[in-house]
Amino acid sequence: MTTPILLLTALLGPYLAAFLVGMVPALGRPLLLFSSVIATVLGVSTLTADTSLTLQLLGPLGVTLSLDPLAGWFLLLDGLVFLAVLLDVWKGSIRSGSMRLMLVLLGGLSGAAVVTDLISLYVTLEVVAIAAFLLVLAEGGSESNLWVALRYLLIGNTAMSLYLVGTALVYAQTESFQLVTAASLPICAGHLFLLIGLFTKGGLFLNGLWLPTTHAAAAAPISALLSGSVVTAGVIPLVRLSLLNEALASRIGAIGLASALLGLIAALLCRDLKRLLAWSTLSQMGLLVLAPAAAGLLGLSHGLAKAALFLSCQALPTRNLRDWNLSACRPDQRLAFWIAPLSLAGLPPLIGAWAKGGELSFSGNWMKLVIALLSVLAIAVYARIWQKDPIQVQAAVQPISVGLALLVALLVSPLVAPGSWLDASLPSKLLLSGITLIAGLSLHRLLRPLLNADDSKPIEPLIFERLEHLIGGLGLIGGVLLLSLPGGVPQ
Amino acid sequence: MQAIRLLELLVLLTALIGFSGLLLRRNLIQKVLAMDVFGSAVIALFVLLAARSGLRSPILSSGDSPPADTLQAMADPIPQAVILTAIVIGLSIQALLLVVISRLSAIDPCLHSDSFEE
Repeated sequence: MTTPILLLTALLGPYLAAFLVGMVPALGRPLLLFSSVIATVLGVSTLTADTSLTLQLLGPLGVTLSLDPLAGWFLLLDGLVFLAVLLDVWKGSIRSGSMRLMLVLLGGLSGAAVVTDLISLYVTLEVVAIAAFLLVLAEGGSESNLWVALRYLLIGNTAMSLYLVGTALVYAQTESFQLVTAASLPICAGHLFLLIGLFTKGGLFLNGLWLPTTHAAAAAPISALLSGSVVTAGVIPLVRLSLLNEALASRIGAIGLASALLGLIAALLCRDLKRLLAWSTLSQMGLLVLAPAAAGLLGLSHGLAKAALFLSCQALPTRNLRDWNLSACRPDQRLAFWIAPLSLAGLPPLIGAWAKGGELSFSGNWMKLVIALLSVLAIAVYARIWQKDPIQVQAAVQPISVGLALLVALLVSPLVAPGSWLDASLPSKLLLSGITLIAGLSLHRLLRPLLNADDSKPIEPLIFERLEHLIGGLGLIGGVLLLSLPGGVPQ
Repeated sequence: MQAIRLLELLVLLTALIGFSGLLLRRNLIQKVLAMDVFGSAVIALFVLLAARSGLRSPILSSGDSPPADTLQAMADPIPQAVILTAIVIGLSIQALLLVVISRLSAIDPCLHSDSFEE
C-alpha cells in the first residue's frame, strides 16, 4: 500500500469502523485490532522512510496533514498502546459500546498526530476529549466518575475556547491557519492563547492539575489509554511549535520544567498508587516538551511504560501506598512494576535509555544539575512502587494479561537488538544510572518514615485540585504568559 | 471611537464575564452557562474578524466575476466557515455536560460544586 492510502485508512478507517460497529457490535474487537495495526504500520513505515509527506486538502486555507518522523513516533505509540489495551480486554471486562468509543478515540489521536493546521487540530483535540470523556463515564461505573468526567470536559472545553481566541488573533495577522505560518510570527498574544489551550490538553504544570484525578478515577484499561497516548495529543503541537520558534520554545520549556518538578513532588507525597502514576505522567509530559528534538522517542518510551503500569493496576489487593506490597501482585504485574519504572528512569539498555540525552530547550551547567535532581526524585517516586513486605501474601491465581506481556516485551526489546550490548558508552551510562538509582533509593529511605507517619489522614486529593483551582490555574498561567511578552510589564 | 474598536471591547468584556462566571459561580448550571457565554464571545470574535474587510455576505450573485470595489466590501468567508465547526462542537459539549449534570442532581439537587469534591 502506498503511503497516502495508508494515511487515509489510518485517519478515516477508525471512524467508518465505529459506524459499522454501531450496527454490528460483534465487529468491535476485530476492527479495533485492524485500526491499531494500521496505525502501527503507518508509524513504522514513516519512521523507516524518514521523509516527510505534506498533503494539503482543500487549498491553502484547508486541512494540512504532514506525515513526518515526529508524527510517525506518535502514530506508532497510539497503535501499540491501543493494541496492548485491546489484547488486555479481549476476554470481556469491557462494554461493547466502549469499543466504538475507542475507535473514535484512535481516529482522533491519529488525526492529532498528523494535522498541522490550527483548526483541524482544534477539531481533532475536541474529538479526542469527547471520546475520552465518554470512556471515563462508560467504564467507570461509580457516581464519583460523573464528577471527574464533567470536570475533564468543562476544563478542556474552556481551554480550547482560549485556544480558538489564539487562532483568531493569529489569523488576524497572517490570514492563514497553518502552524508553520503561525510559528513564523514574532511572539504575540495569539501564540500565548494557543499555548494556554495546549498546555491544558497536554497536562502541563498548573493547567494540567485536572490530570491526576481523572487518570486515577478511570478504569485501568482506560487510564492506560489516557496516560499512554491521549495526553500526548496536546503535546505534539507544542513540540512542533517549539521546534519552529525559539521564543516559544523557551516559554514551553520553562512550563515543562516546572511541570516536571511539580509532578515529581506531588507523586512523592500522594498516597494512592494510580495517583502516583498520574502525577508521574504530568512530570514526564514536562520532560517531553523540554526536549522537543527527542520528543517522539521519549513519548513512545513513556507511553509504553505508563500503559504497562496502568494495565497492571487491575485486581490489586490495595491501591493505598502505605499498605502497598509488591509481593502480593500477580507475577506479570510484578515484572511490569519493575521493568516499566526502570525504563522510565532510563536504565540502559531498556527502551527508555534511547530517549535520554536529547537536546533540551535550555542548556548550561545548571540544567545538568536540575536534570540530575529530577532523575533522583523520579527514582525516589518509583521506589514507592517497589516496596515489599517480607511476609509472603498468596496472590490470587489469575491468567497472565497478554497486553501487559506485549508492552513489557516492547520495553525490553532493545536487549535483543544486535548492537545494543556493544555500545561504547554503555558502561558510563550504566554507572550513571547506578549512581542515580542509589541516590534515589536513599532518598526514598529518608522520606519513608515521614510519609508513612500519620495514619489517620485518608487518601485525598491535594488541596489545589478543585474545579476553581483548575480554572484559576488556567487564568494564572495565562496572565503570567501574557506578562512575559515583550512590553508586557510596564517599565 | 471606531465602531470596530468598540465591538472588540465588548467581545473582550463578554469573554471576561464568562471567565469570571466560570471561576466564581458555585452552581454547576451557572458554571456551564458561563462557559457558554465565554464560547459566545469567541464566536463573536470570529464574526468580527470576518467583518474587518467588509460587511456584505460573501455570496456572488451570478457566474461572472464582480467588479473589484464590490469585492472589497465583502466579509471574509474563512473565519465564518471555521467558526461553524466550533459552534457545533460547543453545542454538543454543552449537551453532554448538561446530561452529566442532570445525573449529578441525584446526588445534590442544589448542584453546588463543593458537594462533589471529595
